[in-house]
Amino acid sequence: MRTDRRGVVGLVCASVALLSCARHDGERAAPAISFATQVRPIFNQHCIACHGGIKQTAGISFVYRDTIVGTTADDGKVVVPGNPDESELIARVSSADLDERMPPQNHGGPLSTDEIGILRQWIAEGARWETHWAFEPPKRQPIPKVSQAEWCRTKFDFSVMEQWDRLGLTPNRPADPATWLRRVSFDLIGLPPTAEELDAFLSDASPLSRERVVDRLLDSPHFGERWASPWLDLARYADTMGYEKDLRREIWPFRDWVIRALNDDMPFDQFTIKQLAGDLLPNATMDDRLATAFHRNTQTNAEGGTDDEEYRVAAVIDRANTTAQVWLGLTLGCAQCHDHPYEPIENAEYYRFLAFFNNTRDYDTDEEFPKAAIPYDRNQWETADQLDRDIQSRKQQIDASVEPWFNDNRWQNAKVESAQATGSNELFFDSVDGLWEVRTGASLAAGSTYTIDCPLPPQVTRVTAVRLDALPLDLEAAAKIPQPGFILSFIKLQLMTPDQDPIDVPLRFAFDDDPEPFYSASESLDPNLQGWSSYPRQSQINRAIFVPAEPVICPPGGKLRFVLEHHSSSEHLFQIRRARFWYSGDDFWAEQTRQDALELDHCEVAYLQWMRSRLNSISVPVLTELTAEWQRTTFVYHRGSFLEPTEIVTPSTPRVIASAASAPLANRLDLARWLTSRENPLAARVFVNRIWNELFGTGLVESIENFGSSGQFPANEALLDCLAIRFQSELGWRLKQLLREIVLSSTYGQDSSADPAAWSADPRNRNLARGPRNRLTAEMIRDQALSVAGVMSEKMYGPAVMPPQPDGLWLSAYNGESWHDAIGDDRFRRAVYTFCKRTSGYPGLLSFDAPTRDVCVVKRIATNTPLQALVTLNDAAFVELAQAFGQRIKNCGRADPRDKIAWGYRLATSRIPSPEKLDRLLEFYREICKSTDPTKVNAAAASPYSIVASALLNLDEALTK
Amino acid sequence: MNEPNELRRIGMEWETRRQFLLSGALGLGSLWLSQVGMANGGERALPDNADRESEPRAPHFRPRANRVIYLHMAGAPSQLELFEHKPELQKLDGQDCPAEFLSGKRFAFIRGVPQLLGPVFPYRQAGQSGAWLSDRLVHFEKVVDKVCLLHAMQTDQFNHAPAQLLVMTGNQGPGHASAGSWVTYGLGTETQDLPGYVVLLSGGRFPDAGKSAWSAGFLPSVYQGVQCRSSGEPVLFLSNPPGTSREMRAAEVEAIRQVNELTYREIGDPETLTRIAQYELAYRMQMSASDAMDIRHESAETLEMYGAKPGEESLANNCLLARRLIERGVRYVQLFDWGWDSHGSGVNESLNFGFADKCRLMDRSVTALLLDMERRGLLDETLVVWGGEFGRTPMRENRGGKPMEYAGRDHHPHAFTIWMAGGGVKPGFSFGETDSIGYFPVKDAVNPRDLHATILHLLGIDHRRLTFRYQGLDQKLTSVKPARVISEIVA
Repeated sequence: MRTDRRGVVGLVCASVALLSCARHDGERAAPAISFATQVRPIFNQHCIACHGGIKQTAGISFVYRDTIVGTTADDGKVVVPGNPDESELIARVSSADLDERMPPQNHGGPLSTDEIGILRQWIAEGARWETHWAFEPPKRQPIPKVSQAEWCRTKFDFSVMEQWDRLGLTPNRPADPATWLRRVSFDLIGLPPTAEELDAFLSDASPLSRERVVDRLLDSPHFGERWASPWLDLARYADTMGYEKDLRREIWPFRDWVIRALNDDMPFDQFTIKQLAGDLLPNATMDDRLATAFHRNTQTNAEGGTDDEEYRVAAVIDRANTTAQVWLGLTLGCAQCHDHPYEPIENAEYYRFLAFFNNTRDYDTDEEFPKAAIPYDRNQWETADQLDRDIQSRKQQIDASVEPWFNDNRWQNAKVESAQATGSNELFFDSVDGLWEVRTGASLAAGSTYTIDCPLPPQVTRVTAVRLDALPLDLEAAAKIPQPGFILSFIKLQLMTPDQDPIDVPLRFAFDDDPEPFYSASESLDPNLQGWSSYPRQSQINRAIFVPAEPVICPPGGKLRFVLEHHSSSEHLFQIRRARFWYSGDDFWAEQTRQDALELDHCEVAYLQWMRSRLNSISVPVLTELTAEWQRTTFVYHRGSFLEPTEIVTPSTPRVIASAASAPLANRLDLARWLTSRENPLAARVFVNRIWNELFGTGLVESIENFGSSGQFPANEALLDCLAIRFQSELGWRLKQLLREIVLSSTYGQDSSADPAAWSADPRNRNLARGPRNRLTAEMIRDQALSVAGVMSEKMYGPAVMPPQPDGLWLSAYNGESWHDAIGDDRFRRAVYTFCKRTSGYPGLLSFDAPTRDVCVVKRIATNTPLQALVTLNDAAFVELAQAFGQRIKNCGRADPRDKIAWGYRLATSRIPSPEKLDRLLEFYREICKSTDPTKVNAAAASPYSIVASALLNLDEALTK
Repeated sequence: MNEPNELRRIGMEWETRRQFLLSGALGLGSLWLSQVGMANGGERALPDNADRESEPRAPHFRPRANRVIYLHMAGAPSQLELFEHKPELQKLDGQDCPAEFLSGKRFAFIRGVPQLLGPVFPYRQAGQSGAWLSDRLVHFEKVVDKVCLLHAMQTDQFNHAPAQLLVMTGNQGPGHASAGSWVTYGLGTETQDLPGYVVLLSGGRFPDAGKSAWSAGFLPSVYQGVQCRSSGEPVLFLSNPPGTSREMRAAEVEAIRQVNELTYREIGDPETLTRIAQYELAYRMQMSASDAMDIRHESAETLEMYGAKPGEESLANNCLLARRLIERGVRYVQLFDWGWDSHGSGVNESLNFGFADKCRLMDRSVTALLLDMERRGLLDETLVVWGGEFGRTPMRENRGGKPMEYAGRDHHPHAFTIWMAGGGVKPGFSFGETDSIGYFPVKDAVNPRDLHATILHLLGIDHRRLTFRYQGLDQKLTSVKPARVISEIVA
């Protein structure tokens, strides 16, 4: 029924359009009701708790038009377009009978007269249903006529002023140049201007002085360091895996990738495609593959006794939700257990979206496979890429030549005569559907060795290869919920003859049918390696071929003995649970071994791998896609539980935003391309809105995490659309271009002061009638202190660093790592490089609202708390910087304490203090001098200037940009 | 849409800032506020768009308790060795677990067919209520008639970190707000010199869920739990740096205030006012938090009763500190005591040794807490909750298919015991029953959402109405799934 809803809506819309054309004349002159801004809010507030996406009581949902709006008076729908008096909706909301009236008494009060009036008029006007504004493409509009065109410096200034003209507002005066410079320096590079930069700007009389500053800042390598943090919040980047053990994760090359990409001004569409699907790009480079670490920032649960499938699914859900948050501004996760409560997004659509992400190879293993080996030296990336490609293609050649040999008709199924296991394990064997197989019983213990004897028929005189099939106990169930996997640590083949001891048959080669297993069959030939695996779970049959160095000559009555050793002691019992054994006497294998053809291929791969291993690299978790035959089926999970798979789904984007005409999307790469295509009305809007929020402290859409119908309307839709369209067209998706335009605008350049009436009329500055004034972010607060103290390290990139933090904060269970305060340069690196441990974040940053990076965070809610004061006053990491700053003040080359303090004040706030403020601070300095013993003023700690420096760093003006 | 809701949320954001300002108005800041003509609590100085009816301070209805002490035994103590008397299980000790108990069940570590494990310690009945207690609970007998035992608590997570997140935040995944955050968000705090939501740790480790267990999640970060420590600085960064005396700090905060006042006059940003108040509050907190966390002046008898020793990081000290903090108006004190994960994989993880040691300390200090709270008249208005994140299996753990060296049990989400005491809870009462071996509830099962709804109810809060708009949804501690107030246990 649901599937043809679109069609019905289309029809209904057409008839409504006719209806609304037909009325008009003679009707009352009140302005037409807006469905989106007047009607839908009434539905959302009063109706959808029972008649929404989740509960659709009596089949009525105010999310879906076709469940409430009829075409005729007698089709049973509650709204009869054009006829409020015939509409059940009006009758029910205005009924005097309390049993009849909606909403019911215990579900909130009745609708107000105004609200009922709106509904009546809406129905009278034809009950027109509008698509939510954000699901329509941004609209390009001509530059509006405004009262003060000369004030406008950029295209979007006109949109701002147009709104002011309507609201009767006027622009604030321009910010003084020093304030503007401070604002733009923090906004672009996250650092305050230096004294020299202030001097240079203030003395530059050129009309292009601001452009020059902006270009300098955009070219600074610090740009990427500043803009990485908000992106890393979205990417939930952290240096640990999360959950209980919260082990270290080496994924900092991804952070560096982000910084570099930002500094290179990589267009946002490429930036998107690489991070979501760089691995799927044709000829993917090291850079592309590294970018996919974006979605490996999900948590890995290394706690003992966890179900890897459960947390793999949790990671996939996180990827789907994060992608929807970042590129669609939608809370898709709401549709995980049921239809979305507010948006027309059905439960199954959630899983169709999730299906894009459900075929990556990662599997919540502690090792965080798969990883890419990223050379530390970027100059080696090209070489590494070439070697990786060569290795890959050689392997593919080998696989291609062996692949036909997995076909059953090239093998004889070996009869099983006996099957023994060490420990408490029991093995059972039988012929099932004509194939002999061995199965484990209920009592299974880790570390068991199986010994399987297979008698050969008399006519078999020669065995050139054997094949082992490992099956999940229940193949059908495994296709829905993967079953426990196995690691065959070591395989031994023996020939048993009637009159001799078992003879070992040396095995020379092993081949998997899975082209990229975490541990490959060849490892099972060496007891020191991991072994053949389907790890950690198994959802279909895994096959491996083992080839002896020489064909086995079998005497009559000979038997093959398979000895299968499992060494893993994991509680997950990585043991083969069901197996079939096969042998072949085909000459193919004999020839391959005789001609050393396989040997040569293997040697070549080994050589290339050795070459590759010489490139000193770090292994970083990345996305890689399962090959076609190993792909997972995606199910709808009943109420979100992976243990209850129901309907099978294939990838697609939610219909409410995907245009019907668009081509079907098959994989992540298609999705990534679609997300930044013109067909997606949201990505550019959501992006520019986040940037706006970052600069102005409030988004144009205030609910920056929610562009759906339960979010807020844009404060200025024309402005939002203007920016979005420019960003994705004229500006070529380039963040630096976008920022350049915004920070050079008159809107941005306004003074931020206002009288109390103006503050209280528009506390969050939605009308933009004053310049932005925001508290510095957590990172900026630390970076500013480093900068004014004159100790900030210019070093970029590399492993995360550990600036001082109090002892005893790292107490994760079953995790032996500890925090070691960095010495030297690394002690004074910018905050973006600070080690981020999810379960124990850096306190100085957390206090200032830096997120723990557990999940995607779109918005840091800025708070103002006493604990923040304790950090900037007392945290040893800050005190150290205040002392260094104090020393600079003391030695700044001015003699008079008043001048010294003024010098320091300007460094910390970018402003020249008023005489009054300076008086206060000087008085404070004198008081401190009295209470410090001058004979003991040897250490910086006790220097009065250190205390003054601390006060300066704690001023409102210093903590604000 | 839902503009009213959205406005309410934004109003709350302002409210969080303002609450500190209002409190600041009673101190140093009031002088200046009166100077600039905003003596009425500074309200007129601020943009006043907070929706009145969403005022988060007043409860929805008459509260039975106004503070909470939540004692979480991280690692999940065995209910079968403390509160669940199962003679039948004793009879089945050593026998293979019947197949019907195993089919379709997932376990953290048990594999194949484990054996049933009888209670390791003997039981006796105690108090007027006749509740069964194991012999590990010696002191607890004195307070058993004050507590309400919930025998059929359930969860759906069987790994520590997710299960702790579930019982603390109502959601097994990270990113959600903890119960303490919700309560302080809903009720605010009565003390302005101390954080409203304090977390105390013992057992040498974080709980498995780490700081996420006291996270404010999507709520403003002012509502996150503040970890206080019984050794070292009681609150991070509370102490002045070396070389800075209290007087110097007073002068510094005063200088900052004076300059910030001038800045406010220039710019008019209300955040500046808030900041002035916060610095003064921080200054006061330096004194009051140190004092609150200093147990040296407690009487010898009190220290003895708890088993507390000044300077130690122990459950005993933390129980005593919990009382001190509650006395000073802290709204929510969350204790975590790590080390209850009795798998049997080693001496410390065994029921017969490690668990027994943990019980000895817990029994004494938790009993002392209830007695001490009562004699000070605090128990009536304070809700005390004790529990773990799940229970333990009636089966002996057989990790990797082999029985463990020591007596131990695996994680068991289906049934475990928690208890509540104090404000508004029926004393000497038992609620819920499990089957004859303590495997599944047979009556009155309670899930974490019910527990949360009940805690909020006792505090005068309707769990359905305490919401915060985030990601388009009115988020609740009890989530969107069904939750009920366990009215049967409300006195």
